[in-house]
Amino acid sequence: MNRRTFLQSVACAPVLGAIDPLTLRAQRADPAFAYVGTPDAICVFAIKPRNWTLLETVPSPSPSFIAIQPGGKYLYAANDVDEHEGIPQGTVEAYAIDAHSGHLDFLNRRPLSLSATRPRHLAISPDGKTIAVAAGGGGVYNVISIETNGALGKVTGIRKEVGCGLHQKYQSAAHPHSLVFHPAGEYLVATDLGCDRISSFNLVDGTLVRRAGFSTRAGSGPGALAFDPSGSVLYVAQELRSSISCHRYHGDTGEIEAPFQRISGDTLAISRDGKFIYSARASESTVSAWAIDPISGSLSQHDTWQDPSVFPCGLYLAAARLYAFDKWSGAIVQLSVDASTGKSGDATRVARVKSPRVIVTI
Amino acid sequence: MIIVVDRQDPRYNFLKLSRNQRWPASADEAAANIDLCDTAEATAKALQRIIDAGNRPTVRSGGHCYEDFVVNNPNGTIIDLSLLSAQRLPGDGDRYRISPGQQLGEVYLDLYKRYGVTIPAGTCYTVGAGGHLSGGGYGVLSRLFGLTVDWISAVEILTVDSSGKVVSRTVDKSREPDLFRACRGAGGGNFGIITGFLFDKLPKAPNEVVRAGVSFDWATMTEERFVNILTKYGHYWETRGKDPETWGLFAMLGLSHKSGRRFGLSLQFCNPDGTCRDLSVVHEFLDLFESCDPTPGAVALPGESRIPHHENAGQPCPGERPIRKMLWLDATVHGGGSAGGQVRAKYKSAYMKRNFTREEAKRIYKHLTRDVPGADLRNSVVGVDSYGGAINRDALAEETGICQRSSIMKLQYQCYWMDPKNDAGCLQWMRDFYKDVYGAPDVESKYAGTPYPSDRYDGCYINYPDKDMLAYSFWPQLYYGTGDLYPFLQKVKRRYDPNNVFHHAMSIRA
Repeated sequence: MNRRTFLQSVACAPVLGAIDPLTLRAQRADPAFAYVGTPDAICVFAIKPRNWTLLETVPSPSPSFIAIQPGGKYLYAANDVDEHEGIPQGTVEAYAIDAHSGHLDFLNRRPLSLSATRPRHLAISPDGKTIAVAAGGGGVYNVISIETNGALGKVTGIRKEVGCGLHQKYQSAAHPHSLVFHPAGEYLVATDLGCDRISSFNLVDGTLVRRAGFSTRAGSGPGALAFDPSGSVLYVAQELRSSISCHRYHGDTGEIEAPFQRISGDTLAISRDGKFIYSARASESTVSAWAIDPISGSLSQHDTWQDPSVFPCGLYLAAARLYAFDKWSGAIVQLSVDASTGKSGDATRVARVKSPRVIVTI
Repeated sequence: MIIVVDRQDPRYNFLKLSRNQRWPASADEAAANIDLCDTAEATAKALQRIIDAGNRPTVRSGGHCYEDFVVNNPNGTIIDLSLLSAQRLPGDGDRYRISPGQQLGEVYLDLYKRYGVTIPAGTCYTVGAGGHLSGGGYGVLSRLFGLTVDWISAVEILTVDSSGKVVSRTVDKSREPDLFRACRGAGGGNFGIITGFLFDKLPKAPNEVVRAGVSFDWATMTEERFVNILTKYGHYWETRGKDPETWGLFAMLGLSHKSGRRFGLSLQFCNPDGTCRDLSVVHEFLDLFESCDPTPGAVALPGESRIPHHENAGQPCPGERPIRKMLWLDATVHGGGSAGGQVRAKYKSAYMKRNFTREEAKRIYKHLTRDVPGADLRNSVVGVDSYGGAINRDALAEETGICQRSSIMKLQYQCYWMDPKNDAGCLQWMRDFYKDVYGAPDVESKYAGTPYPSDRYDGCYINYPDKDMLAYSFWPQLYYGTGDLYPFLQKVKRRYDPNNVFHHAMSIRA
């Protein structure tokens, strides 16, 4: 992509219309409910300005990742388990969200394919009809259909990954880590922490077909990832090197270019207007805000928040609030962010749960 | 050559199936392709192609896997080795070769005609060598000669390295001995694709054998007499059956459901020198059951019988008993069993180190004499095979993937039916039956319902896999013992299949 096409793609971002309605709503209005995955439950909170109120604790086996369907009616949780009913497979759960109370109604639990163990991430297609799951334990991606009532349908696609990396402990085999749909919906981009690989897939008849890919630096361990709203820049956290790489992305072919910039950070969240990206470094107890250059897509550090008593290992951005959570202390910290400057203001500990692993709000 | 059979190919509807008609359980579970490979090179090429495409391979030789480990491969590819049946290759020298696609009947014929030797493997002619030998290779001659894996000298295998590249290896006691040991009995579908088994030596095939049997009428059977039959049978293997003089005696007590009307005991025997000159061991054994009111002669039993019933096979031996003598090859090949197939089936297993207790025998009696609504049990049988003899050499537990080296009997619970409507009833009967037999009050409560290794039991046989056992967190110990074998196999798995390319519901979990 040259500078001209990059500018064009940035300019046409609103036309793409790929930002899900829920996210837009989250951008515009304060969220009312939060769902936090813990080792054995999904905790449902009512969001209050200074302190969340626990509404219910829904038992769930190791909900390592949670996502809400576009439209906000259904919630899906990946269960980070080695086996289900004795079979080596992880599972995904579906819940209906009560729009008024925030409560969850269990719909069903779908076992993944054999060897698709320890799923830790999932992505819902922009049309809300399909879920893609990254099962890091068994080195497998699964594709699952979503039925009209929100329940999980069949596993329609299974992709077995192979590979390894430099790091003996974390990279002895392929470990699919995270997935994100390109805003235009045609491609699904996934990271594999085990073999330093980013892949662009197409969904073809419910299965994943690899179209393009990029090998990250040996031993980097690509993990969390996000697109800018236009889909022309892909940001990837390199978990084993505590850095975030910035790649130009070709939405027409799925190609991923070599990174044009790297910043420090273990994980990331991006504002939906594409102006700011936030990174966290647990070892330094910091959360940093980075301004995204609207022309080049490059990042410049804008602001840093630090609290030595908090080790932020995950971020979630909802409207003017950035939530950081510390899986060791259980603290969930709310940072107010200025939508126009990206700077963080007040920091408030809004909740504490046992080992939070993921937060979503609605 | 690789023959790719896809859904449009007329052969697909046959090749997608297991012999056990329960599998695949649904259309969604069926493989998208079956790749028939006739050489090791073609197999390597097919495997690499499958991996590069992000698909899952499963491997089949004869298609007799009791569970769905091969054909439950949604949109994946089955590598079918039934055409890989080379009997010799350049460089084999004086070694014997068995290819995974060879059927056991073909193996017996070939080894006997060429060299006069054999392997102590299974009865069914059409069972493929690949899966059978990977899981142990046990049969009628095993008390005399041990398990087939005890004789393997080298294994040719394709593995997939950490980067996803197919690697061809020949492993033996000096080259990658860990993988070699794992390939000798740990079960198929775990580490790679075996393309050849090599043997430096094999036992001389017997010249002749005798077959005999007795049967018992369910109509006149009592619990007390049933208990007496089982405990007499078990006592023999616990005592006299350990004498090397008797190792040529193999027996199977076929305990069919009462709806089968009769149950029976069959035996095959030869003296250790491969002749039938002295039949005193046979008479001594059959004498044990004289007080149990037997009907002379074996009875035909359902499913795979170790000693298939052929009324007029061979020549009658002198004497009052209906003992018939025949050439060993005739008995083994032409009288070989057909082993199920084209029916729905469920299997379970248990190794026993000791004789039946009265309580166990009573519980077996209870389940064989009860009727179950919705279950067709006419073709149900518990085959109690004699075990031990040459198998029970402790050192072989360390050399091979089979740790059960002190059992005297091996039980195979079998149920066969045709109508899918009977699935639930038959499966539940099997589960209740098995749980009850191993659920007596004296069984340690946390292992109740299973033959967990103890002074009485030694777990289950991996070539009779039973997914019901996955309900127990200790299922690996049921199949691989409580010693170092399973941790060893996990280590081998991590080393040779780091990406878990080869997997099924009961594969080694690293």
